Amino acid sequence: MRKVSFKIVASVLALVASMTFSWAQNGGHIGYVYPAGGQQGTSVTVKVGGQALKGVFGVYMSGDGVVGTVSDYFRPLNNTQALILTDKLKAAAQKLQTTDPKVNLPNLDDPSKAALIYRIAQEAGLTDKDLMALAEYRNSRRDPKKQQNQQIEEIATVVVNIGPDAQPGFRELRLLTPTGVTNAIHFVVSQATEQTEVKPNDKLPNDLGDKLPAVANGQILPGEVAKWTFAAHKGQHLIIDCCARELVPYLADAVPGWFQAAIELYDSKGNQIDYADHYLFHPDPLIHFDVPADDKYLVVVHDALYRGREDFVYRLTVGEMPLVSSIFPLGGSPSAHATVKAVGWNLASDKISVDTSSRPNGVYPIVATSGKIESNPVPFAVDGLPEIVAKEAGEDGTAVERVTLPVIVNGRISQPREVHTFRFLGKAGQKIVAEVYARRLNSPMDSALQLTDSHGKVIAFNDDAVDLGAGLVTHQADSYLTATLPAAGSYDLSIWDTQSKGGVDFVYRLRISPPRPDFDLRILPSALNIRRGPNASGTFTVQAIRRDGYSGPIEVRLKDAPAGFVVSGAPIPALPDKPAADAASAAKAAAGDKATFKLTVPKMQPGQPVTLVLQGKAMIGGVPVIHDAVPADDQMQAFAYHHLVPTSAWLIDVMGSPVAK
Amino acid sequence: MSIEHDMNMTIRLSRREAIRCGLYGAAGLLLADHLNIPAYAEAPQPSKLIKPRAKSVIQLWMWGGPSHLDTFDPKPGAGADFCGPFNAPAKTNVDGILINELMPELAKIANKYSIIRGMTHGNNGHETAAYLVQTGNKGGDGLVHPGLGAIVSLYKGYDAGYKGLIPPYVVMTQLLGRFSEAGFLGAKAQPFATGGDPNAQRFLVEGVIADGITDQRQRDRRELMHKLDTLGAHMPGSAQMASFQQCDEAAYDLILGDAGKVFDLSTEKPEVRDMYGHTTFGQSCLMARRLVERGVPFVSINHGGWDTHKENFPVMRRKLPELDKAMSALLKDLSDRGLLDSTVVWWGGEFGRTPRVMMEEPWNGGRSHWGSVFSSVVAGGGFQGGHLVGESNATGEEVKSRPVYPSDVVRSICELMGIDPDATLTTPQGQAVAIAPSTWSDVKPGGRLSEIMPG
Repeated sequence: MRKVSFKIVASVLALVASMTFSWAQNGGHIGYVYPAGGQQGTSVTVKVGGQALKGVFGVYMSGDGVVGTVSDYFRPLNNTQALILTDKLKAAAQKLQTTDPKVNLPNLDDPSKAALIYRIAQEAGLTDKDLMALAEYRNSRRDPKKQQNQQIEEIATVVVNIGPDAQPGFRELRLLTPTGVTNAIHFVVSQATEQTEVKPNDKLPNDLGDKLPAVANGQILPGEVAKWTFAAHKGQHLIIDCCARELVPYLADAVPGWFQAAIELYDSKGNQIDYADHYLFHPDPLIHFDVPADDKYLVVVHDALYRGREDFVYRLTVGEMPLVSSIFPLGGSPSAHATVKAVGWNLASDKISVDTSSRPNGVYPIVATSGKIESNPVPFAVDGLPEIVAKEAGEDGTAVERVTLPVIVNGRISQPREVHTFRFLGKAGQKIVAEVYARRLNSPMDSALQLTDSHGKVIAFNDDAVDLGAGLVTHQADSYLTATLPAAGSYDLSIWDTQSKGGVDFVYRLRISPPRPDFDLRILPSALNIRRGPNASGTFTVQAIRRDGYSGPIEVRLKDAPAGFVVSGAPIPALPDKPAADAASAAKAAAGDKATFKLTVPKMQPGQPVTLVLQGKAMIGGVPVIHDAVPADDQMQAFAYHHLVPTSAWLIDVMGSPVAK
Repeated sequence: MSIEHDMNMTIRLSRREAIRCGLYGAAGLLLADHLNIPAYAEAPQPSKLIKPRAKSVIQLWMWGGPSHLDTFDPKPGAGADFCGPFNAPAKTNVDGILINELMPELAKIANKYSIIRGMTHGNNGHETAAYLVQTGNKGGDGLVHPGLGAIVSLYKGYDAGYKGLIPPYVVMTQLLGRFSEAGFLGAKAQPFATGGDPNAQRFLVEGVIADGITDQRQRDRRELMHKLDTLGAHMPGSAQMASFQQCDEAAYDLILGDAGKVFDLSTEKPEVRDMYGHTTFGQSCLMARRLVERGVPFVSINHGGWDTHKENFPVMRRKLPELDKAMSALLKDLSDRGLLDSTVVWWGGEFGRTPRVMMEEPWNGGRSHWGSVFSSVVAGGGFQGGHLVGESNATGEEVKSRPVYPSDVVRSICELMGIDPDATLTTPQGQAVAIAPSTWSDVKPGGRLSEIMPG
């Protein structure tokens, strides 16, 4: 045996220990849940794939009406463990040979030798679980579709009970482990019947039947395609919606950095009717299908590049579901009941009533309904500034109208190449901000803004502006500009779509106002796992997202926390006086605009995470401004990009296993 | 097939058409220059004569980007978050220079090479970074600049009097694939990729040594081909056909004669093969020595597997001993044979790797790309050994002093090869462009590797 340097061994052990310690602080990680949803009033058994899940004992599910329980845990064998088990089988076979010369260790993959293998395994002291683990190890090494991905190789089996009145929509599922609570993964509660694919379904399809809407749950492995048939009748207006990236928004080690699903629709004769690999600007594909004839139709699902992996999970929904593609206006003021016009399919009405009374400024989801079925939620913005609806453009594609600041303009680029101009009177030295909310409010518009004086001289221009708070928007297409007006006079602010597109969905919301210094906060990570003990504490980071030039310090504090929870740490510091020299420096400064805090906790029981709310406070213009911080996780996309992906709750847990009752 | 007839009834065939017609075998591709195929760009006269110090370059290209902290710029003082388990770097035989502890053989001969620790270009994309390092150009000018190998091939190849049967630019064993070695210089400057595996029982070289084809069978095929050559029989006295026939003879000389024997590693002493290590990379390094012995101006070994986003340390444990054995053997062997003074050895990849170990999922102890600062190694051919050029900061995350840009390295090697770094190349559009810019950054200037070059 080769002599191994003790120093190197010690170093490796230290590294492994440090890795374990790092994972201990993180509470393990989950990468997917499959199937990724279930129908109201049903129970569904799901597999949750992740890492560092050993000892998993519980499930945290956001919202009410959905409860999960852990029923099993599996961790694949590593090379050493597989070798040990195989050696045990060999030794046992040799031992049995002394009394029965016919006994020889057979090919472990030969099903006809199962009885002999079982006999040898018993002699070796192996359990059924050991044999299954060894079989899984051997299969995974042989199967080219099985890639070794440490981050998703452990499997927790969870039984999810969904109450009949559980609110439909997205939930956050987390696992409770001895090292704390994991990150969140999406689980969907639906109102439609659901099926999980039975492989192989790449040649002979699985059938959804004719009772629509129906949901198909699937998992695409490398090179795979999945086929589903459904019966449809002439005149139906079907939505065929494949949800993939919505389930797992970012993959750090894949390019594209998510499961980029593509769907193909065929009739029973094999004629391709439609294809989609996106919908407007959404990576998840969607097909609107006006059924021309009674037939059995086929949908094929695959990755656009024919990649695949265990976390390439999808939900294919087929049916006459209500779908809202856009609303107008995109927002309103908080003091009135609003009615918005909805554009989409299978909507009972083209109007949605929105109750915005007493709502603080912010963005809220609204849905349309068709009977009892809810549509996809769409964002609705609430703001206290005066609002107007922009005039329609003329035949020449332009519209010019006078406005009085401050104002929020709700507009629509109805035709390609339209340019809308808003003219206002300004004073010398007056500071103005113009901000577009379109992409961040689900609009496909890719805006550009330009401010010119009365001579046509360009004072300011912007195409794309990064908003760290829009963690799920990968193309930060909304525009933002600030300017100090050089002289008294008339100014024009023009907006258009940089891709020269337009249509009923190309809606926007444009704020033109003096600066409104403000801030948002993100807490990282969304689950804080703390070692038990006296004065137990953990550290977390708060990322500041400053608005309209606010540069002062920001304090943080807990809101309505139970006794014993204490946050300490210096405020997020003010920004330096000298502004960044260029956009790259500004982006770097924005990403570094954060501080670390300590949370001290009282005695807690493991597996009973506590939800806390953290607030940020800043003095802006002599007035205290307070906002709740949004918990988030820093997720990487495609080896390079980072996004702060919000979650619904900030969870605090202590490590350890729950005490048996 | 398109054939142009000139006034003298000479026939000009493109190389592809000749092969399609089956007139000449793949070995003829090696000698395509003799077919008078016009290059996209002509080799210009250098603006000034520079006395060459080196005759050849051996490029050890670590495709994927080797971690600088885990190779030639260790940072044990930065803590385990940065150095991982490699916290006891090896002292070399040069005071003050430490390298990774898994490279003890290279540690013993640090006086033979110099480490550039201030390499920087700031790009983290494989293809772009490879382009920057190999061409010494920043890009963005609408041109596809040639790599250093193609430049050397142009200046030291057939147009400059090179008469070897082996092409002047050889790649062991596969082309990079995501990079155009020749750039706008075109096919004439493309390298010859050997294919095969020099560590295999028989090193099968594209167009020269085929699997299952013995020398006798090659001779029989040649004889059959000549018997079928009716075109030549109908064109006696044609200068072009005479040129083809010369190619034919040269090609078979390469396949069957002494020149081709360079690829036969069985003629090398077993202890020498052992010294390099019985790995593809090790035997490629041995092949490179044999090729420069025969005067090949540029040999590139593309050795991948360094893109360690995951399993960085297990991969380093496998690759570093292999690298150590092969590279130290190459330097020692070249030195012992009196070739190191005339051979530049250039080691490196397109960038370094994230200094802070990425412990979070899915990386679990990996390192990502890092173009802010990384390391390269040069030896021989006029480069002095035993020095450090440039320095990274305490964590290996940025240049602390003396940045070295890709253009600095390319220009310096050109100078040692006697190629005027200020000479210009002519693009197919007739534009004269510099081999590589003399200034990469006005803000943080780099410059010639004067610290380790003569005069």
